[in-house]
Amino acid sequence: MSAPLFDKKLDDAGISEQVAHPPLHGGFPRHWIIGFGISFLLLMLFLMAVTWLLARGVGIWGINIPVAWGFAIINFVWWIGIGHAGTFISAILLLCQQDWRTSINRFAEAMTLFAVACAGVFPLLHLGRPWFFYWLLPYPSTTTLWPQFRSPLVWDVFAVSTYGTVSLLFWYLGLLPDLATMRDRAKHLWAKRAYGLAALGWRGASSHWRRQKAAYIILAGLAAPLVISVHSIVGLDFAISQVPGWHSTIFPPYFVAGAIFSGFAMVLTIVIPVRKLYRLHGMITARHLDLMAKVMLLTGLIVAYGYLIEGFMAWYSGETAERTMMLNRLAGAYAPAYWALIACNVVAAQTLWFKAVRTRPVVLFVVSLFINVGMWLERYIIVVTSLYQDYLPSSWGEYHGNFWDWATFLGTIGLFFALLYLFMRFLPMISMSEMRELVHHRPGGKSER
Amino acid sequence: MSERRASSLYALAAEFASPGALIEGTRAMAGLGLRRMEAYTPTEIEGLDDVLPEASDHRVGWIAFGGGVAGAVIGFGFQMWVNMMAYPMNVGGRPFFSWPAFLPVTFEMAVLCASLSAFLAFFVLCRLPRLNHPFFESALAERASQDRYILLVEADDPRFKATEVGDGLREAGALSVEEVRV
Amino acid sequence: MQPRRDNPKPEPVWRSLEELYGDERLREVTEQEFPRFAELWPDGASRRQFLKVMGAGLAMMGLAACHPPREAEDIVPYVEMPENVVPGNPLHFASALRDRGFAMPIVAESHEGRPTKIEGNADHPLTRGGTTPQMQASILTLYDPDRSREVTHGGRLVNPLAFQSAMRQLGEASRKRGGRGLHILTEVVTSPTLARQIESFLSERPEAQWHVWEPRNRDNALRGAMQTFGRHLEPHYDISRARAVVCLDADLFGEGPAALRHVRDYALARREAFEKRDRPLPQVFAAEPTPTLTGAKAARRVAAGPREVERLAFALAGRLDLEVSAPREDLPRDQEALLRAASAALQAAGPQGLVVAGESQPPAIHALAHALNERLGAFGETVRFTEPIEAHPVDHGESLRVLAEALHAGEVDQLVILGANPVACGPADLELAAAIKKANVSIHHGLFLDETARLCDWHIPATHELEEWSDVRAADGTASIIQPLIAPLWGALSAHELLRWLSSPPLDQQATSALDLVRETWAEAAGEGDFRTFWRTSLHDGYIRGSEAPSIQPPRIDRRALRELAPPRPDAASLTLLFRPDPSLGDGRWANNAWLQELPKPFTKLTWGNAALISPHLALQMGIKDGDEILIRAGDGEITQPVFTLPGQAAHCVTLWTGHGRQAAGRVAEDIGWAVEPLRTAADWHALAGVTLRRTQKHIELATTQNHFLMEDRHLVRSVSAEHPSAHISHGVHGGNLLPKMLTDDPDSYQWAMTIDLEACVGCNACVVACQAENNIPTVGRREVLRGREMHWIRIDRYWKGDESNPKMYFQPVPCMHCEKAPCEIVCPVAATTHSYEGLNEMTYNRCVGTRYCSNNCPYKVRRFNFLDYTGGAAPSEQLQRNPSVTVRMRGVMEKCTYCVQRINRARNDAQMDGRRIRDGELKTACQASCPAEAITFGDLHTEGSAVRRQKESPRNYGILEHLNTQPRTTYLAVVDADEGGSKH
Repeated sequence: MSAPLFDKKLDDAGISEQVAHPPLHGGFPRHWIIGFGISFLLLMLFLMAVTWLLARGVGIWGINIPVAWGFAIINFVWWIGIGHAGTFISAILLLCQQDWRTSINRFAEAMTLFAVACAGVFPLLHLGRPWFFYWLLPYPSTTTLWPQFRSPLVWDVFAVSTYGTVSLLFWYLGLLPDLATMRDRAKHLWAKRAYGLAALGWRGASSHWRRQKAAYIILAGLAAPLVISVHSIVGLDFAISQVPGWHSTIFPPYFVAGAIFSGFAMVLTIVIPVRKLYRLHGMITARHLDLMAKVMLLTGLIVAYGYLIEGFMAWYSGETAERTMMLNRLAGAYAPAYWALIACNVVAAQTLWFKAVRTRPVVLFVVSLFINVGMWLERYIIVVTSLYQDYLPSSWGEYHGNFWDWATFLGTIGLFFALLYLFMRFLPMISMSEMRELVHHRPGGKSER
Repeated sequence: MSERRASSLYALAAEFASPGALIEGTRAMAGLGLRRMEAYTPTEIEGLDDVLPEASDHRVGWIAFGGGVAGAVIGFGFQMWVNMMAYPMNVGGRPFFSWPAFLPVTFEMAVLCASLSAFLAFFVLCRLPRLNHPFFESALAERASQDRYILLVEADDPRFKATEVGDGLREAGALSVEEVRV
Repeated sequence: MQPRRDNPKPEPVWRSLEELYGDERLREVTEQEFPRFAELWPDGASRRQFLKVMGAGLAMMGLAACHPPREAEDIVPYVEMPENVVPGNPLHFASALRDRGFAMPIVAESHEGRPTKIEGNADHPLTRGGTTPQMQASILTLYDPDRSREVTHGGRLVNPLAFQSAMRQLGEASRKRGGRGLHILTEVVTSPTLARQIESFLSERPEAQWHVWEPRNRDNALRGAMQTFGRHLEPHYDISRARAVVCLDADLFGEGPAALRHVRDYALARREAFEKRDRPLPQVFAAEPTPTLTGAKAARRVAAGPREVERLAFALAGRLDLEVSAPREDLPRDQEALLRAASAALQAAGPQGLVVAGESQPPAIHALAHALNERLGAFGETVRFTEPIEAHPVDHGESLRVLAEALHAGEVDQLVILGANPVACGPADLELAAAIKKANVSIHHGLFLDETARLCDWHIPATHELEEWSDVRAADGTASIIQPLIAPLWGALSAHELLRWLSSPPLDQQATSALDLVRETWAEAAGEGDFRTFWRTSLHDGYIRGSEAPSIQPPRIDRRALRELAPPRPDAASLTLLFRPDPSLGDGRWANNAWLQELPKPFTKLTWGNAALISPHLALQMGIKDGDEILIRAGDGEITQPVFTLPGQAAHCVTLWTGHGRQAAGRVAEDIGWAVEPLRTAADWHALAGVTLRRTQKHIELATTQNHFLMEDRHLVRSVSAEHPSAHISHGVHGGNLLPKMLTDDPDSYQWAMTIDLEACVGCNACVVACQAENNIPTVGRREVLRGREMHWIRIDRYWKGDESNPKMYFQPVPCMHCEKAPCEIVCPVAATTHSYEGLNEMTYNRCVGTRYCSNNCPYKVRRFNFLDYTGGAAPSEQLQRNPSVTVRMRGVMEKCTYCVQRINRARNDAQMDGRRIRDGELKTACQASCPAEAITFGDLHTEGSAVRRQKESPRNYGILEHLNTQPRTTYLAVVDADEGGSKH
């Protein structure tokens, strides 16, 4: 076994101390103030963009006919994809008994929740008449009409809302024991009350632990297929149509891989600085980075394969429109974006073959940034280049994001990080209870006798 | 009245330094034939359930399963009802009963219901939320969520004798034993 | 305090209009200022409220045509008698519009007194129901809030009484002076009544002069006729009998008052010839400098500069052994080829051949054309002659020049301008703007306070054709009575009424209304017999039976005269400017009409503005691309234009569209387009040689609706020939259809479907505007078109094929395909677009949440989305135009062609009333009804032998993108490939 998963000297008290300190006694360090401040400004930009949007209509964006979908859908897919890494880490790795997930899963889950929140706003905002969004939900109305269940957009509603709910339950169930710890460590009366209420009277009784574990494992077992299904359905949002470049059976798996790919990139983008700022090297070690990088390498290769097959199928189908679409990607109006995407997702990812890269936080951080951008570009390419020149040459036209498109996008990034900063400030970033368990049962663990 | 209640002994609480010690202590108490005990720990202790009496419970799993099945049935049934009975419409010339198109929603419904029932089952079975448990009266409670391993032997156990239990716990290696009164 | 009742003093001190005029006058003044219905226009545009106030349609019938207040005059509804007015059911009235002074016969639909839609008059002997985009759009001009609303003198409001007495005095004055210094300027007048009025007006003023000016005049034709026959004879072409037509820069299908007839004759003749297979297909051969609708349909076409066309004409004359001095130098290869084919075809056709010279060709060529036709024996066959239809047939250019001279010389005492706007669209070198100011008194009568009106002392708002009693002649002389459907919205006067006041009628005749005048005219014409019946039938039919101009035998042509004619020398490769009326705006009179501004022009698909059309060759030579601005200098004048590269444009010709960049057209036209008039002189009215182009650094975004003009081998427009009559293309195997054929196979149900005959379609755009008028389709403006957000429910795609210097050009109207297996429907999450029992792909606006997935998934891209609020800003008067049976869509909602479902439902109601099925042909969609070529067929697939069913069985029938298995209900009939289908290869 290469690098250790945690610092040998770590014990129960140490874990509690390290993790619980920032929320309780950390105060507001400068890096937090600055980071949160920037995120907050972006969040205000978001509110401005949304207000203008609701006042004037989606026409303020660059969308048109033929390209009736733009940033809203791109960002939706991007965010939801990012969320998936969280579930992947906390659920699938748990089921595979990958202990290394322990120190990062809390973080990853929080990231999932916030990413889903960001993703969730776009389908609503992109509606022509957002105030009627609830017509997509099955509720008994005076019109006696119901949603049209053949539409992948309805599947989306169910998938995303289920995903959001389950992620929240899963996260909270895991958080419960730690909230109790916070409650018991808190000195300030109001802090005690707040954490105490949140902990719902958790006592750490063996009967609690038993059922909590059972429920936790079940939720993990459900979340695992769920995360696959969600992004498969997002893939179907496109694949169900007959737009050249969308109508492709490879989309679901290829989308799922892409999601995990981008998700891990985002985890690294966040974890690497946090680990430094909060001195968590003891719990988030080089080994974690190494392993996450390996996952990225794998999913990255799957995605690359996806690109390859898209090209092949376009040629093999013999369908004129499909071929035009592919040629457009390679050499059309959006070719720069396409090649940038290849550079980020395929070329940059190959550096992960080298341990030197995987274990050097700074380098890894840069690579993960590239991949984040690359995955956004991928969705951009899929949405725009497929639509802008489809079947009837007479209707061909281009699309370019304008100020309001960008404002909304950057705005959600603000929303995401604002939430993340609040999380880091007020909640334990690492699951203490699971860390303790890990410490007890690993070779080198303190209480191992 | 309140005098009497304040004075009434609820249980004896013993604190142990490590999971191992806790298990020892529990085994000892079980040896005395005591049944009404509960361990309070900062993390789940493997092997504890083997020594704690009446410790197995698989209901959460079954409830979740039931929820899942119900969700699937409701999900699929509802779509059938909408498309074939409530408001049949010619949508793109597709059959009213387009079952493959109904599967995604069915699946999501199953997962949603299963998860919710598992989550709720946990709380209901644990009688949570409850903020006023007698255990919180104990001075040891605070560290039970951090680095101490507490065993609580309840006074209303028929075999319970305060002195005997107290000594037993100390022999088993409890760092300290204290009375929990409510 | 009590308002004063006496008249205002010369310079009265007054605190309120009431005080100024006393309340009696105040009423009149305000009536003038605020239209009669002002209070009836709810801001919220609630039709219900409007109806309530309107009461029965009959009351409106009474109102129609009573201004100033007079007893009601009844007008005769086209289909039903007013007694059975049912609120909600429209009435139809036959009437006519004027285009370049000629009748455009119409049937106007009126909802509770509001005219809302204009259809062609299917009974009219000339047009047989065809319409032009301008006829369709005219309804919008009626409600244009920018129309001038009150009589002004020196820019100040004048009340009716003051105005009337002023006109009387002017009339008196001019009569006393025997009409000296009195000049009347009109547009083309074909109205017998107006002509009668003017003549009697002039007879009392012998020295007065009547000038006529119409920018799209036919001076060259007139001069050509004079040259040939020594008198002005008007040729009428009968394409239905023609087998070979040679067009020398003549746009038979796009220009001139008889274009509708030509289109129809040509389309029907070809269709019949192809189906019967008993005769060769009639063919058109075109030589033209810039693509025209005629050129696009031609079997063979060459792009040739105006001079080259002339030389071609001489060469052709030579081939058909007329003794003319044939051009010495031999022609370029492509022209030679055309010449050979054309002369051969003409020879073969003999009397059924026809040669037509375009208006922009010099008189000599017209003379040649006449000679050629005579030579072919075409007189009386494909071409007949009548006396001129114009009441006052003069050389417009000359006529205007004389007026200008008189003005400059300061000899003009009174200038009366009826309708014309010479300042905006007259020759620049006449400097009319300066001249008009020199007139002692100038009176302008027109719809708008336009460039000319602003320079005149008096402006009198004119009535729209739908507001007035009048009469007018069509191109073939057939007369129509113009009857009002609504009282003048802005208290305007018709020319008849103005003239009545000017001719200072004796008191007993002061009350004679325009109606009286028109009746008088026809009382004479009707001769003995029951006038009432004559009147009623004439109104009912929309034309006066037997009023067609009689043919006359033209004198034999003196061939010797032709010998004097000589072909021009081939001009050195200097650039030639061609001035052509804008396909949508004409000479600019339609500039303030948003529908026409946003109408994609046939070849360029350009909206909201003009551009200089240059050939790909020239673009390459100058290294400029579309949208680059160029500076055009000719003599001392210069203008700037963005360029547009147009395949099929003659190499050294630059086409400029007139009618743009007007100063005083109205709010819609503000800052739209770039005026070319400054370069247009009387001498070089149609073409101007020897100009220089220089590229400026500016680039202007051109608002086009179609940016890609190649078919990318997708078999969108297919062609068949006698040899290969089937349009079917096998797309290889796609494992059949797994889905049920139809969810309703009930034989009693209607199953609606449409076919569009690409052979017949000439791309005239009438259907586009008709659809816009029928379905309350908003215009979105230049910026939104640039963003690709135009809203037209039916668009006309245009494709090039072959070499870019002279490609084949195809038009393909694309409405919703109403796919059996509609891709748009399955992706809608809220079931806002679903399939009807009758096979319509229906859009439920109030259910739509606007995900726009349907549009993405529509391979035909026929869906339109309200990205912003496009309908909210409409002026109250514009809201009057809206069709009450069609929802006005709000922001955030998807919309598209519905096969005019409101018409289907009305037809169904009528049929159910009489307990029968809807008859085939009883129901026409808006686009179908508007089409002059009958290219669009719509009907029920379940009705035995219905037209649409027959079409679907034709071997020419095919659907586009069939391989996607969408099973479109709208299919196309393939183009009949001219070369092979024709008489010879």
